[in-house]
Amino acid sequence: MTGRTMTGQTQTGFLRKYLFSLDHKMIGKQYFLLSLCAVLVGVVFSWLMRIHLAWPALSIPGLGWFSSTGAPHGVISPEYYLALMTMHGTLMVFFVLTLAPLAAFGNYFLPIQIGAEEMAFPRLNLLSFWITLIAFVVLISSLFVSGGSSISGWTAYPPLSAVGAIAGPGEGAGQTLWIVSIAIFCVASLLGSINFIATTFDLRCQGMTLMRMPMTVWAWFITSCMTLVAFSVLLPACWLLILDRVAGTSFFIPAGLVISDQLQPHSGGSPLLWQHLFWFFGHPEVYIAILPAMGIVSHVLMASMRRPMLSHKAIIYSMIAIGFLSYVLWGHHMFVSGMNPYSALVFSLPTLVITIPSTIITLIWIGSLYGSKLRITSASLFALGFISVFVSGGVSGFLLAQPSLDTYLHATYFVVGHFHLIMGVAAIFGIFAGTYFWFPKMTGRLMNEPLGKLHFWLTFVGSYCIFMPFYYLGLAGNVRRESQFVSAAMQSLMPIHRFITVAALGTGAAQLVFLYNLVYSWRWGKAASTNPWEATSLEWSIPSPPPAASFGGEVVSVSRNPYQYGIEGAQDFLMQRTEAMTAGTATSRLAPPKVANKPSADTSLSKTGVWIFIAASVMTFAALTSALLVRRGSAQDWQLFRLPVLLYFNTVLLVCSSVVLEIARRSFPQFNLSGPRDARTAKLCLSITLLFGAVFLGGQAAAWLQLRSQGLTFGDGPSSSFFYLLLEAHGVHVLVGLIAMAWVLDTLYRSQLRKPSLETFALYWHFTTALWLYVLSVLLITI
Amino acid sequence: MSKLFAITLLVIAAGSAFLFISHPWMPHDISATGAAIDRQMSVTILESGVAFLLAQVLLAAFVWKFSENQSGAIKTFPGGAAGLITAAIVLVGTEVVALGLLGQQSWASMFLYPASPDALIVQVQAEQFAYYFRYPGPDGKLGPIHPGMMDDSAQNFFGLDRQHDPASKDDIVTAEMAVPVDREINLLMRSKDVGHSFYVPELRLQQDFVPGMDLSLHFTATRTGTYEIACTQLCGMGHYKMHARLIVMSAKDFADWLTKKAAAQ
Repeated sequence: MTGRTMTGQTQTGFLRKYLFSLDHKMIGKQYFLLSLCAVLVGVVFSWLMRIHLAWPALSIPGLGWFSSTGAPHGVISPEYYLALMTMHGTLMVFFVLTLAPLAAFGNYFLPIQIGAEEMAFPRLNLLSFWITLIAFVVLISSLFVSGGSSISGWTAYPPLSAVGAIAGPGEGAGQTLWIVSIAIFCVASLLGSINFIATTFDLRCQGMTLMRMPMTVWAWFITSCMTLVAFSVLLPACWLLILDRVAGTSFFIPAGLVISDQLQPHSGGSPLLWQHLFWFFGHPEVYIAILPAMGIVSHVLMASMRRPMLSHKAIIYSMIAIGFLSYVLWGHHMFVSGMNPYSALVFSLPTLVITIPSTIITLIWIGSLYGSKLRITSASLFALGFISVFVSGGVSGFLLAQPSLDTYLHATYFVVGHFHLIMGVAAIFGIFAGTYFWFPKMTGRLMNEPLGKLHFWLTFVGSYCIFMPFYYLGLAGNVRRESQFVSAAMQSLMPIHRFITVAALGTGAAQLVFLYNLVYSWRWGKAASTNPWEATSLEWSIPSPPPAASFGGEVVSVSRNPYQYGIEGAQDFLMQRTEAMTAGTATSRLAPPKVANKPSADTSLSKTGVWIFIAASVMTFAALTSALLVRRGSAQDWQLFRLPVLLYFNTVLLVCSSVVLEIARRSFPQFNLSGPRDARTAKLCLSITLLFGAVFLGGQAAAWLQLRSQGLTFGDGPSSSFFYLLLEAHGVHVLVGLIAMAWVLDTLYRSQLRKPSLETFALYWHFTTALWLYVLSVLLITI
Repeated sequence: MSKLFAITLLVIAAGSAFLFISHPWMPHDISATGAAIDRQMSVTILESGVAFLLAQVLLAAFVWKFSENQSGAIKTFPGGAAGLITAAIVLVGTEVVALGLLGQQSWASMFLYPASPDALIVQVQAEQFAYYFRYPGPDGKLGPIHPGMMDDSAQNFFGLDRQHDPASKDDIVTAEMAVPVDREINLLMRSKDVGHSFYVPELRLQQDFVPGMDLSLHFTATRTGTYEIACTQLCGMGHYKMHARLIVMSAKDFADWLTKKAAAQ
């Protein structure tokens, strides 16, 4: 199914091998390179910001040539500073911290670590990488449009981000490109997480029970579930923001705004609505960045300590607890935002409580070091450094979690120190630990250890020099996001800012050691054996680098948990993988394995995929309809109108189509078709379903046009905006369903349709019907 | 190498802790509610500091000791995982409950209780990139705002119709904020364009302006002097220079200041 044989002997062309590869290992490497590009740009931007903060009048050579309007004669203008800041945050959060630990390492190692030859949906995987790349290009292109990149920060609070170029340079095309880029990124992340979740569910090899999965796989799995929920809320939020900008709607823009001496034509929108939607995504995003790093660090530490953790279950359950808790505390970003002050107390509690699972994990890491046989390598140094940095960034959370202290510390450098240490530096240390640990597996060559250690020392000490002082600045009341410190009180803090700038330049430059090591070792490093670290999990049982078919088509089976270190005997460890010989005989004796280790023709996989998609879609509609209810509750401008009668007719049609489809599904034989007669009912019913579906879609379009002709347009009022929006969003689902149905019908006519495909499709179609009934009832209640 | 790691870690931990306590980083508190916040801040910094030092010292000690241990059997931490989990739940749990309860009182005094009825009413409007303040004048009433009439070049920042609205006639509009010392201020906040914020570190107070929402904030300044109001919500290219002066003066000076400003209009 991947365009090559499972033994990997077939020659693949350049395009298939490097650009449009379906091999999860190549896609992992592509993600790694993409985030490497993003981090380079992000670091250079942070340098420019730091230089400007320390020496505002300094002319930076070459910068004037790069951006003559943003930095005339190389001196950074206030708006250019904000553009750099927005780009730095966006690149780092989305394209580095979300991609490298999850998409890059996860793609490469998740299938291998569970004994699978492939991801569940290789084509989808290819697609998600390319969509991510497009998002990256769109974002970078905003640097070059008139007005430059967005200046509203990575949080893009409206109305600043919603009213267009009138609010300032960068708020025109730059801001639009920013939102479009993030929306595209959401789509890619959703596709990616569907793939990760389905792979973990369905492609585990024989004996790979949930509790036998490596810590990394657990972390990627939990993170993917979080990604699915978080990005399916950010996507509609971006959509609403785009509509406010281009379609004249007022989801986030209130009435009576006077910007640049012009009264704005909007009314009734709620800026806080965006903040709620954004932080519902934004806070889990912090854990999306850090959880994979926690998994990697646990994985690396156990191989370095030569012992398992004191308790695996405690770490896994704590990670799950963090995953859940991270969805109920987004409001701690909004203590001073103007939301109801009682809700601050409500959000404060889970924020404090989430420190408990984090503390459990940290204590288990530290406690496991006791009595271990720790081996110091570049990888283990970064893992140990991770623990230190995670603690240093974490403890300041105690202050920020309390609303009354946050009123003082909010939007100061204290917050900058907090999130850089716990989210930025810690996650980056996790990425470095993973890179030094897995590089031999990925390339077949060892990285240079002395250089790796040098890199660690410079980065470790440098990071503390940069980010610890931020805490002091914050306590002194130094406000963040200011491109210059004009007030007299802040002048006394300038020496600290200059110190930070020097440290940032030094630490950034130290990364050249890493880059050199990476490039040099890739090409000329010492050859690595299959298992250079004497580690136990499945990836260390296959050659370095792995062949195109990771396990060479062999049946993989495991019979123990992945971290058998500290065993008495000549070797102090046991591989997780059961020897091939034993596996062969075991398989023959046992019943067929419950889980397959490669995506066979079994379509239960696509059914899993559809279920996960449904979860995402439910979140999207939950976000849209809760936005509708919030908007309805707060608005003075809600106008009621009569829903077109056609909608009810359409509804009946859609319900009928589902019923007919159900008849087709039930009539279809479980196993292969024996003759054309078997499929007669199915053919008829499916054709009717297709017809009904198409008429439904046409009817929805007609209802839309009917309202339109009555003079009710998208931007006329919040009720019509939501009406059109929900109709459109549901219509897209139906359209996709119709295309899928055409394919199913075509397969049926070629007598190649099998029951699981039909069932998968039926699941999807019934979901669109249920979704419409939900949408219609919401519309009936509110409009 | 492991010893170097342990020593570096200890130096970083000790240095960071020393810098926290060696210098009074926060500016002097000038508000009636600030003392409680400062007390809570100190307690929290102390608790976080202890957690920070404990974790770093244990990490350093174990790395120092056990990286040399390349022969012999591995040992288990006394008490095992159960002990550590219990410790985490009990210690952090207590801290969570204590901090959670402790913090509510000062939060409540600032945000849950309304301003007293005899508080002095001042309105502040934030715009790109300035604050304007409005005092009700002798009639004690603020006139209505007409966004369509806002005109910065004509100095009509609030969109007042002084000819037709009687309440607007005596409103006093200023670009700096003066308040009498030891008197509660009821600050009515509105934004003209995008999100802004009102932050005075000395008052230990911060509140965003939300376009379309009328918010209010109340405080009592307890010490005369000139302080700085800063915008902390990113509001556009001039965000960095969006500052205004807050002058806390005696009741008599304030009355004089108000008369002078009224005469200048």
